[in-house]
Parts: sequence; C-alpha cells; structure tokens
Amino acid sequence: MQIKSLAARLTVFSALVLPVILSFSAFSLDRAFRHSLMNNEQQSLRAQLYSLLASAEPDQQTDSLYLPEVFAEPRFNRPQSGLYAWVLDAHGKPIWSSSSAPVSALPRDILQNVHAGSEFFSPLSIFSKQHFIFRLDTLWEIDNRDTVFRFVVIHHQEEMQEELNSYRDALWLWLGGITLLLIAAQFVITHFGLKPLNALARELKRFQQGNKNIIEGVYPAEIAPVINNLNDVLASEQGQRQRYKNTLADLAHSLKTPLAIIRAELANCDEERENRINKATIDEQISRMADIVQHQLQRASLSSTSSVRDKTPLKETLSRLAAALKKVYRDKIFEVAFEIEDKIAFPGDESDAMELFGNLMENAFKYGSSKLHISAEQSDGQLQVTIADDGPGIADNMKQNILSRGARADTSVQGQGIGLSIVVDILSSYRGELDIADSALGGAEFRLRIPYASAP
Amino acid sequence: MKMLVVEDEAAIRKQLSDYFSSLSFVVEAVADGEEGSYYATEYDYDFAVIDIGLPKVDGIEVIKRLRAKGKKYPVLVLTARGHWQDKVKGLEAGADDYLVKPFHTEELRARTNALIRRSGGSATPQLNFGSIVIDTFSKQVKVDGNFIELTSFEYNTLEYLALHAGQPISKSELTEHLYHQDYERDSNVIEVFVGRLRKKLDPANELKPIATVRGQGYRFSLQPS
Repeated sequence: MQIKSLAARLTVFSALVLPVILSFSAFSLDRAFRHSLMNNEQQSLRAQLYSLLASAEPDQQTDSLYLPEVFAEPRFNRPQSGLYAWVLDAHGKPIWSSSSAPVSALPRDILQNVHAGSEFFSPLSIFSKQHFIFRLDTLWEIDNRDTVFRFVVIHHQEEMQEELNSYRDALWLWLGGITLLLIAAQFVITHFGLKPLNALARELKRFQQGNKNIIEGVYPAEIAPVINNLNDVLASEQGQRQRYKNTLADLAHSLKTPLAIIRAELANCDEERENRINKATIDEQISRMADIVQHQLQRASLSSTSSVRDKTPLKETLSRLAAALKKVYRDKIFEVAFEIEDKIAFPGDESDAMELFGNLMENAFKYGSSKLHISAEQSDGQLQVTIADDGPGIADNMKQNILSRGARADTSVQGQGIGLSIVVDILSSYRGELDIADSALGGAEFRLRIPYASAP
Repeated sequence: MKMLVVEDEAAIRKQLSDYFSSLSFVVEAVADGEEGSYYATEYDYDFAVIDIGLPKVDGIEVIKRLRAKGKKYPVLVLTARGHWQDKVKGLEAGADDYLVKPFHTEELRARTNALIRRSGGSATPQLNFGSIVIDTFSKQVKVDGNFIELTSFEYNTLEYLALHAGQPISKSELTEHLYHQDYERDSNVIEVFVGRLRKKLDPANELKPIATVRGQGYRFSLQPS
C-alpha cells in the first residue's frame, strides 16, 4: 500500500512508532515505581522490626526474651491485620508471636541458616497470599551466654499492590492521553508545515491549465530554491517552445515561395512549353528549400536559451575544427595560427561553438589561400574572437548585407551558402555581435564579441 | 574503380549506386552499419561513401573500424544534419571529406574525384606523364595534345594503373577493382584491354607506358612530370 499524502504518511508512522516509545516509557516508569515501593516496604518493615527489638528484654529466668503483649503499632495487636511478627530461638522454635499472627506455623525453610546480624528481605508466598518477609538474627547476652534470636516481620502485599495498580491506571491514562495528543499535534504540525506545498500544488495546477507562465507566491526557504530553479526551467522551456514555434512558422512560410515557383513552373510547362521543364529553375528552388530546411534545423537546435550554460574550451574546439578542415582542404597547404590562452572558454555548449566557428573557418579555408589567424581574449566580461584570412575579402556592400541579414532563411542570398547566416543567428542568440573588417593578411577579418553572462 | 556505399535510405542508396555505376565504378552497396563494417574491413576498395546515421552501427563507428583494420582508401561521409560536430567527429574518425545531404551529383563527383586522386598521391585532377595526360575529372586522355578515344573499361584500367604508377598491379587486382564481385572473371579480358591501351597510347611503341611484370602483372612505368 502506498500513502500519497505526506501528512498522512507522517501521521501513520507516528501512530505506529509513538505507542512503541510510550510503551517502553510506561514499562520503565512502572519498574522504577515498583522498585521504589519495595524499598519503602523494606524500610518500613525494618522500622517495625527495630521497634520490636527496642521493646524486647532478656528474661534471665527463662533464658529467653520477654516482649510486651501490646504494641504502639495497632496492626501487631489486631488479629489478621496483615502485619505479623515472630521471635524464634536458635532452633527455629517460636518463643513469641504478635497478637495479629495467625496460628498456623511458619514454613521451615525461612528458618534455616541463622547468623547473628544477617538481614533478609524478600517477597514470600505464605498463608495463601503474597507477603514480604523481613527478618534479622540478633545476638543477646543472657546469663553470660550468647543466645541468637531471630526476629521475623511479615507484611502482606495488598496495600503495595493496590498502590501499584492505581499508579498503573493513572500511568496508562496519562500516557494514552499524551500519545493521542502527540499524534494529533503531529497531524496539525504537518498539515500546517506542509501548507506551502499545497499552495505549490494549486499553483502548478493553475500553471498546467495555462493560466500562468511562472509559479508565483512566497515559499519557505527550504523549497524556494526548488521553485526558483523550476521557474528557470519553465522560462527556458517556454523560450525553446517559442523558438520552435517561430522556426516552424518561418519554415512553413519560407518554403511556400520556392514551392509556388516550382508549381508555377510545372503549370507553365504543361501548357506552353510542351512538357519541357526548366530543370535549372527547379534545381535552384530545391537547393533553396534544402538551405532553408538546414538553416531552420540549425536554429531549432541552438541550445543557448538553456538556463544552465556550459563552457567549452575555445582553443581545443578550434584546434579540432582546424585539423578537420585541413584534412578536407589538404590540397591547400594551410597555416593556421592560434593566439588563444588555454583557459579561455566559449560561454555555451560545444555544438554551438563548432557551428559558429566551423562556418567561419570553413569560409577562410574555402576562400583563403594559405593563412588563417585566430586570436581570442577575455575582457570586460566578454569573449572577443578575431578570425583573419588571406582570401579575397568581402566587399563593403556585402559586409552590410551579411550583418543585417534577417533571421529568415529565405532572405539569404542565393549561392552565398547559409554558413554566415547561421553564424549571425547563433551570435544573436548569444547576444553577441559580429563585425567584418579587412584583415592584415589581405582578406576578411571577422570580429566576434560574445558576453559571458548572456543568459536571458 | 571499386567502391563501397553504406546508406540506409533505399532511394539514396540506389541513386548513389546508379550514379557511380554510370561513371564505371564497381559499386557495392549495403544498408546498415553492421554489414557496412563487414564489407569495409574485409574487402579492399578505392573509395567509400558512408552515411553517418546508420542503423545498428553508426557511420562514424564503421569508419573507425575500417581505419583500425588498416584500410587506407578514401572515405566520404554523408551527413543529413550538416552539424559541424558530426563533420568533425567523422573526420576525426578517419573520413577524408564530408558532404551534406541533399547534395548535387556534380559536387559528389568532384569530391569523389579529388579524394581518389589524392589517395593516388596527385594534387590536381590531371595526371601528367609527359606526352600522356589523364584528366580524372572529365575522364579523358590526351596523347601529344590530342584526345584519344577510350572505352570506359579501357579508361578505368589506365586510370587505375596510372594512379598506382610505379607499382606492379596484378591482373586479379585489376579485375577486382574493375568488375563486380559476382562477375565472371577472365584475365584474358584484362590482357585485351592492356593490349588495346598500349596501341592507343603508344602507337609507335616507343614510350612503353605499360610494362609487363613477369609473374606479377602490369606496371605503369612513366613517372609523373
């Protein structure tokens, strides 16, 4: 069985555990009380016995002890009072008994092992009831002879048992009450303690129903960080969703034009050109559609809105790209120079870094002749990367064209490839900037600036 | 030239096979990475086209395996996504070039030629042996500045020998790289091609571009200039 509510869980577990704990307490309290009652009993019997001793007198004529008939303690005087006393001689023969003592004889076993000065206290089952026995063996000098007499006091347990029973009744009553109170308190505490979670559940429900974009409300310090992170994830998720939506819309929109051109081409062919299709037009439109699809695919997979930003070692990534490109363009003997410290990192994941620099570096390999120079530095909380090649360079009007190119792929210039528009896209998602200048090597120089803390 | 195509999409696999066959390649085409790995590591090819996204074993793994087996033939990877991460991984695994789908056949041909040429140690599409010039792109041969007529089998035989200039090439190696595996092999056919080539390239029998190496086969004996 699985209990879904936290409050119910806590209540059920305390309902199971509390009685166990309280039973142990009851047991130990009971033992302690019983122990103290026994002590009291021993003390009181010793006192009674000493009062007997005090009133005993040696009787020279009978070589025995004399004790009075009546005592200050009324229970010794009243028959069957429950408190009885005997005085025995060294052979265990009673020489005296209190008026209260029953006539039946004492069991033999309690009479053995007489040692002067030895004290003995123990529960005892006698006269078909539970009693306590306290005895003391005493040495008396009678007629210049030492004679041992045993004083025995027996008291029934009824009073102690009654006291114990009433203590137990009270104990169980209180402990039971405390248990119930604790469980109730526990339930109330958890109910109030977990109230923020209920509020959170309601808030999430509202979020789910689409009424809210974030989870609102003030939450306790323990769960506030969770809520904050959740909100970050939600925001990033929403950003991603929005981008997918835009991408989808862009994609659908930008594919319409080439499709329309192809359809028109086909319609024209049938009627006027006697089935001769202009292959070049169709091929051009297919290339355009392929570019659009690739561009949008690229944008959709951009990971920069993720709230957890990775860091990618820049030099390593660029070196891998350079090695790969050198392999592809091995007919050109390219010299790639890096001026990048090892610790410099790109503030995003590896795939974005590779996409960004891969496109720029490939252009350099494609259009340059033998030299590529890449330098990077960290300053003012931003990463600056300069990529210079010795290609033909980029004409001024084209520079503007590249930089101002919109996010829509269908606005890209035919034959230009989509590499640079992807670069511009990635940079803008990182809130970075791109400048194109003329490089000292004679070709183009791309200057990138990417802020380190650019999370939206 | 004998080549391997590993591509899971049937339509593209067929297009590639048809296209390369039309260029007189001996094409072996398989549909998944497992089979691809087997062919790529067990046989010798002049060239391979391998798609990155393959079922069972991905293209990058296929390339790693064939390179681990010491295979040196050039490999072109095809990538559908066109992501730089894929391209770099492919090249790091041992591919020599990449092509993003969809591609133009002209581009595929240019890359293929460049790769095969480079694997033969030549940097330009023209193989220049003094009076004999072989253009591997247009698949045309000039002798003393004049184009000569060659059948595609004759051309392929010549190109294979010329790309391995200086090395003795056995008849069985030539047959293997010029014909399909299941084709009935007849070394006499090779002798006929070589005989015809010798006549067309060197009518006066002065240059002797193709030497017979006793017991071993043939050797293109001219040095590239």
